Formats: sequence, structure tokens, C-alpha cells
Amino acid sequence: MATAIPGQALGNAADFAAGSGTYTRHGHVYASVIGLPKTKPKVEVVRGKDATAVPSIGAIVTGTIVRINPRWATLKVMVVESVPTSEDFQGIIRLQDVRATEKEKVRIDRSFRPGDIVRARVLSLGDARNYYLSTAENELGVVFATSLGGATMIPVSWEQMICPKTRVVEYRKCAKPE
Amino acid sequence: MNHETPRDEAASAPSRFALDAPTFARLHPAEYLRRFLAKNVRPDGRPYAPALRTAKFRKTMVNVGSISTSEGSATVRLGKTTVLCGIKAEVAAPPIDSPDNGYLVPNVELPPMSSPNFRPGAPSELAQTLSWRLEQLFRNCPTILDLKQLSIEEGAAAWVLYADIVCLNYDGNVFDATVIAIMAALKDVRLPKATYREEEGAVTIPDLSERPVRLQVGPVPVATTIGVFESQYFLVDPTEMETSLCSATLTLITDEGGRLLGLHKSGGFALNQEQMAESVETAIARGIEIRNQI
Amino acid sequence: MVPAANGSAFMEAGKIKVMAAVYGPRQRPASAGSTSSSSPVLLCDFKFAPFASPSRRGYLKDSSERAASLSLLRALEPAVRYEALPERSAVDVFVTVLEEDGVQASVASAITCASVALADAGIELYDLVIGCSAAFLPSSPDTPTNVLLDPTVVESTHPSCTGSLIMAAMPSLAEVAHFELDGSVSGEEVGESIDLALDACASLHGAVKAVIAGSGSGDTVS
Repeated sequence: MATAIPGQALGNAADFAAGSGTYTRHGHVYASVIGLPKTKPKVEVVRGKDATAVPSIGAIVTGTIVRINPRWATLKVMVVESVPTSEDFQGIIRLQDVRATEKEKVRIDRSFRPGDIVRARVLSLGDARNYYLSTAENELGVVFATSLGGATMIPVSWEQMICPKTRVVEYRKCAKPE
Repeated sequence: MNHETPRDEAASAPSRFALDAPTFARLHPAEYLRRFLAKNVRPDGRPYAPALRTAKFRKTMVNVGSISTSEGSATVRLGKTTVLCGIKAEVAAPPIDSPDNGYLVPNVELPPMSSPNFRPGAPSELAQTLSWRLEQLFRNCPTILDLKQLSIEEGAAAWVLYADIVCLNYDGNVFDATVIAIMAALKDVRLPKATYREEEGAVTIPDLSERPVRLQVGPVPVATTIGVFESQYFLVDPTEMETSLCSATLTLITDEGGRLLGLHKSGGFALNQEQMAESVETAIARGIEIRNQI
Repeated sequence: MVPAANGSAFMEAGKIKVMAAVYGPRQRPASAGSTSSSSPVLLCDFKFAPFASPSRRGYLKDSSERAASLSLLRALEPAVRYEALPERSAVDVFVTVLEEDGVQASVASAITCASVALADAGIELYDLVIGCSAAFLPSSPDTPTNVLLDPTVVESTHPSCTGSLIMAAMPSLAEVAHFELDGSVSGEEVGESIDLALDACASLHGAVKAVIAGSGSGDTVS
């Protein structure tokens, strides 16, 4: 089938259910993106290029900590689920969202450091500048960090990582390995 | 990617989080680049070797004269980096300290459309630096474009050539592209005949449609930019991704005679004599290649 | 055309050369829109390159560019499926005219080029938006006014030009997305011009469709 473009009529709404890349108006199904139409099992238009990934509420995102302050850590989101984004998004992990237990004892600087790669979940759209993110689950938190000595650290518990070279322990909120 | 990408997990630690290549590139860009270089190849497929003279520039294409509203124009594609230089000529009073000269005013624009990293607003530091470096090139080497040919009437009127360079797509190494663009555009310039009428104190152009005047261009400068990654990898003609990981850059500008017209080094790193000689060699070879195209 | 962007398109119409790049959906900048509203937003930026016109233009936007940015937004908004965009996201549309030949005709081309770039970026649209322009020029004081489609700079700036219009249509849906008219023209002349413009949009739409279907992405329309 030939490439469809937005606004192109694909069929009758009575005969086809509208799938992705289409919309319905006045009883007809039209394409809404450029792509190849597929009519089974329902009409949809499949794009040649990949869609840009955007964080959505509940999605797991991965990124790098860019800075920390006593109340939150700023994360530059680069991957949504397992799709790298074409541009960075910015989110913050606030004190109350770092972990599920002993929330009153949380310290940001003993949970994250700039440069750490962290996996988090999108809680909400947040404010004008930042998505609000949470690492309050076992599988969320620091997945990769470099010690002060420059080596890749290995997690020893949910709150500690060790530098293999110097054997020094540093504090992080670690993600549970798979 | 049409070659084998180093597929692996986070750095050297035993991995628990397997990542595919594009995600790995995003999260661990330095390690991603390191792994390519260890296999003597760069992420865009170009070969890499410590010997600079084997380094390759990206495919360079030059297209001249496409903008009819300008007096001269050139589009340059250096890999995916695309710049368009348009030269507009206006009449003005000549400089007080050199009344028999005209002006060349280069300006580089990096608009938000060319990269997600450029935001709308005042010209960024990068854009201003690029404009300044171009200005410096012409000021320090006045033989490239003798400004006397822009004079219409000594002390009274002269041409001002505004060379506006707009980046249409940014993928690193805009400077080398802008030098090619401005030189190709200058060679394309066609000016109408202009005469100064003393009685009226004004310049008249008898026929705007006739453009017989061409510019005499002296030595043609060609720039070669090298990015330095982790003080040991020299990446000639770096892409945007490589530039973001380089702590320093070195730019050499050479002319036909193999003379160095400019050298710009930013960031702290030491070059030994051999590396310096190789850089110059690479720059000269690049110069010959490009001059054939303009 | 612009690999750094999510979608792009380049268009040539006679001497007019326009380039459009679309980024998005991306995080909305703090400055755009109020924090309470989480609806997605479309941001349009129109600019002439300094060398695009007979007289050089500066880098700061002048009033005609700001007005054109607004025209672009009004023309594209009806076509964008906002419900398909993530909440609180922004879609940035940047259009640069590299060479113009009549402001109205250039803005009309910008609209068409921008809608193709939006489609290239995968932004869901109800239809492509095709722009068209016309100028009203009486050939002599007695004869009725001529409606000249797609006027060049000489035609649209002619001293006897009584008015000009820019129209943006969504041809598949047979809807007019945007219409602006400047000058002093009679009701009949307006009616005649609308018919002519709609026809022009329809045929241009056909040409654009053929290019997209042929090449897929990163289109050049000429």
C-alpha cells in the first residue's frame, strides 16, 4: 500500500476500528501521520521513523544526576523505558521520594552524587521546570556510580556501595540488581 | 550503525543492567567513545589512528550562488554540519583611519533550528567566538581580501560586505565549515558598478541588474580543527557528540604556500613536536583538497 | 535536511527558499504557558535570514517577522492533534526564509513547509496545511482588479496594489485554517480571491503529497 499522509482517508469508520496514527471524523478514518497503512486487524498508520520518547506518568526513566542540594537531586533524564530520548528532560527526586522507609532519616548527599546514573519512576509532571521523580522502590535508585577514587563502585546493600580499588564505602540509594 | 558496535554493559563492573548501544551511548558517552577508539574506529565510521596524517574529514560539499537576493552565497556541508553564507553589500563611509578601504563584516549565527542545544535569545558565547575568530583571520591576514578593492571613492564612500553565516544543522566543527563558506561566497560575489558623485555627495549605481565587478581573493585560508579527548585521542573534524566530550580543541588555518595563517588552541593539553608536525601536515593536505572544491 | 531536529523540510517556490525544523514533543520551557495548565503547547518562530531580502535584515526580529510567527501559529494550530501530544510538552517549529520573493508569498510557503516538517517529526495532524497568497492589482482605473496568485516582491510592493491576502487551507478536510487580508478591496474581489486561493491550495497539496509519498522523510518540495 502507498504511503499515507495526514488527512488522507483510509476507510469507513463502520468497517475499521481506528488504531494508532489515525483519527475518526464524520464517520471516516483518516491518517494523522506519514507512514504505511495497515488494515488488519484494525486500521493504523505505521511511521518509518521512531517516535520521540517523552516521559509519562508512571514510566521508568534513566538519567544522570547533575546536581544535588539538601532538599532534592536534579536528574537529567535521557532514557524513557528503554528508548533514549532525542533531547534531555529535567526532573527532580525530592527528599520524600527517595525511599519508602525511614523517610525522615533521608539525606540527599547519602543517596545520590552528581554523575551517578539513576533509574526512577515519573510521579507527576511536577512544576514548570521539573518532572517529579521517585526512587522509592527496590528496583529504583543508583544503577551506576564512580567512587571518589574514579573506579566503578559495586553495591553491597540498598544503601551502600564499595570502591573495588580503595575498599572505601560510599552511601547511595542503590537499585536492586536484576 | 553499519559496523560492529561494542555492545556491552556499564564499564568494567560485572553488569547487572544490560544496555543496548543507543542507550549506552546516551548514558556513558565517554566510555562509548573510548570503546570505539580502542578498535581504531570513530562512532560515525571514520577510521581512527594515533597517526594524525591518516585522519579523515567528513564528506565536504560546496554549492555556490543559490541565493539570488544576496550579492554572493555559498552552502557548505561538512558531514551533517550545514552552513549557508550570504553576502550582502551596502554603501557606507569608509573607515577614518584607512579612507581607501571598505569593510568585511563576518557574523556567525547558530539558530535554535540547527540543534536542540541552542536556545532562542541573544547570540551564544560559541556564536560570538566564531564571529570573532573569523574577524581576526581577515584582520591579521589582510592579503586574503584586499579591502582597497571595496573603495568607491577614497574618503567618501566604500562597500561594506556583510558576510552572514547561518548554521542550518549543527553536528560539530562549525568553524571549518564557516571558513570554507565565507571564502566560496566571497569568490561568488558580483557587485554592480558604483560611482561617487561629488556634487550630490552620494553614490549612484547606474544599473542594478548588471553585476560585472568580481572580487580579487588572495591566499585562500582553510581551517582544520582537531578535538582532544582525554588528552590522548586526537579527533580530526569532530562531530557534535565528540566535541561535547573533548576537553580541548586545536584549530590550524593554512594557506596555499603551506604557511600557518592562524592557530587557535583552547583547553589545557600539551602537544609534542611530532604531533604538532603531523597536525600541520594534516592541515596542509586538507587545504589542498578543499581549494580544489572552491 | 536538519538531522538534528525531529522533523524538517525544505521548500522552493520560484525564487522563495524556506527551511523548517521541528523539535518535539520536548519539555516545555519554564517561560511558555502557565504552570497550572498542563496542556501541550505549539511554539512558532519565523525569521528571514539576513541575506534573504533585497535589503539586509538584522538579527533581531522586526514587526513583520513577529506578525508572521503569529500567522504561522494560527495556521498550524487547527491541524495539530493536541490530544495525541504528551501533557505539558512543547512542540517548537522554527522556520527560516533563506530567500524571499514577496513577504506574503514567503509566509504562505513557510506555512506549507512547516506543516510538512511537523508531519516529518511524527506530530499527529488532522491534515497538512497548505499556504497560498494573492495580491490585488488593478490593471487600469477602469478595469476590474486582477487577483494575482503567489505574487512576487515586485507585484506585492507595487504602488497600485490595493491589498494582499494569505490563506492557509487543510485541503483534505476542505477547511480554511487561517485567513488574513490587508488593504482595501471589495467584497466581490474577496470572494473571487478565496475561490482562486482554495484551488491553488488544492493543486499545491497534490504536489506536496506526491513528494512525501515518493521520498518518505527529510523532504524537499519544489
